[in-house]
Amino acid sequence: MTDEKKKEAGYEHKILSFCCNWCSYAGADLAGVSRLQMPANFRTIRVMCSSRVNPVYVFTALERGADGVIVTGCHPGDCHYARGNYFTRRRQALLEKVLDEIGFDRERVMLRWISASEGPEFADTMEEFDSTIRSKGKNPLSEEVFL
Amino acid sequence: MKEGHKGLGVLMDAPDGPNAAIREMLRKGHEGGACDAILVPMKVPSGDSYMHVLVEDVEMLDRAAPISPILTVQGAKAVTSITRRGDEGVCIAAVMRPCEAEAVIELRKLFQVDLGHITIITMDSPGAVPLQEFSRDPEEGERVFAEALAKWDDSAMRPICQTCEKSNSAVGDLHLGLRGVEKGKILLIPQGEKGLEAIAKLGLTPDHPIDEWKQASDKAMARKRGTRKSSHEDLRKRASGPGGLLDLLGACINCHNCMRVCPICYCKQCKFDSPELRNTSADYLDRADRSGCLRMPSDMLLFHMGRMSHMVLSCVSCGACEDACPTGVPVAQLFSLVAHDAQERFEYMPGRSSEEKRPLVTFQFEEFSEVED
Repeated sequence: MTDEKKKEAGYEHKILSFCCNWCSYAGADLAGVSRLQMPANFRTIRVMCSSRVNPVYVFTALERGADGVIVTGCHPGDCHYARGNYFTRRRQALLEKVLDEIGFDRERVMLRWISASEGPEFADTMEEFDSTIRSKGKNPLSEEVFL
Repeated sequence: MKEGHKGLGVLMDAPDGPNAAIREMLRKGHEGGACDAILVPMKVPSGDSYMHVLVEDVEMLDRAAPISPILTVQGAKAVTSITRRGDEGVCIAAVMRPCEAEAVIELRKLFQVDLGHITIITMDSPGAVPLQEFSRDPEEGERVFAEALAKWDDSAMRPICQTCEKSNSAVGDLHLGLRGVEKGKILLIPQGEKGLEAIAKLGLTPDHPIDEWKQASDKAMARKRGTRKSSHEDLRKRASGPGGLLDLLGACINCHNCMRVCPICYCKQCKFDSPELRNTSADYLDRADRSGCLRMPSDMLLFHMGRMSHMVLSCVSCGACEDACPTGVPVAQLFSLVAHDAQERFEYMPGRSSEEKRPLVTFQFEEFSEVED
């Protein structure tokens, strides 16, 4: 599609999702093979553990124009690496605080626990986050020039 | 904080001002075998700056300025440079401001300093003169600082010092109480085992109650807390929304000086200097297309936000970043604002204790359920 046509077609928001290799990515896979309906606005990056997601990755996505970022991992207690997701939770707490302080809408960033067997939950989560981001519209940073 | 003083300190005579008294104490300590060398700020020969020096020959102490008017190289960086390759059994007494000592403790948790044989000596800090102002007119800078020290009036000190509610924190193994202490005297307060040991080697016995100093300190700090709150409130309003933040950071010239002088930013290779952030021209064109045009080089906001998320929990608000900014971005005030609230969320205070774990390397099984939305 040419740029012109893209603009004509109206704005389609973009969501970035980080899925941990052991639970959430398998959950996403299950949602796919179960042919569950999901919005097609998200792109997934597979990471070995949700705690591999440095807050800088999330900032980078937001700065480069992603409208929402979701980080998913194993449920607490079920982490493949035993404790990784507890660190993720702390990182998320810090990330939210930094976003709050600089006045950026923290609801554009979400943390969810999704296990390998929770295909429907994955689909529901994506549906829910997609509608949140859709209602929020464009990420204000994507229109800033002096980044 | 490692108490241990049991509410008692040593009242020392300081007829020629605190600097002379501290020099005398250091000399005695060196001669009495309490330390083999002393790390202390000293005026550079040209007279327009101060640097930490490692003093082996006590005769040279005459030129030392334990309470220096400016903060140049952060003391924690000086301590790191000595002990980076491990503790070699040389006892060093390091004299610095409380914020510098707090950074030393944070660096210990990051395995960048070895405090085995380092005795840290801190003092009530009257603040520091903005570095660029001092460079422009050192004489005037000296005068302004002497006045601030005499009257404990920080209105001409750096903005970050005016809002610092930890400037009287007894962080070091030995702390020198200056504020609210009888005229012509200073109060030496030992902390923990190291402090008591040092006091013993100085041949002193803690016998003077520190209550009066503590009350005066607490009162002054409560006032500064108020200043900090209102200044943070103002800044938060200015920074709110990405547009506001970009206005605050607008003058940034990507020199990364703030990162280089930051004692907490110890990484050998910073992500923000690495090839990881180099993108293809197609990528930049794409981004420029989205917003119409794009600042080049890009990623200024990402640098600050990223650095914030990396070091803000250990930020001691020493203000070295703001002093080093050539374009006057209020970067220390901004980081201090975020640091204060982030540290509060984790109930963490950098420099409070070297035993305490940094928040991101520990966890509890049940906590922060509000972030798992």
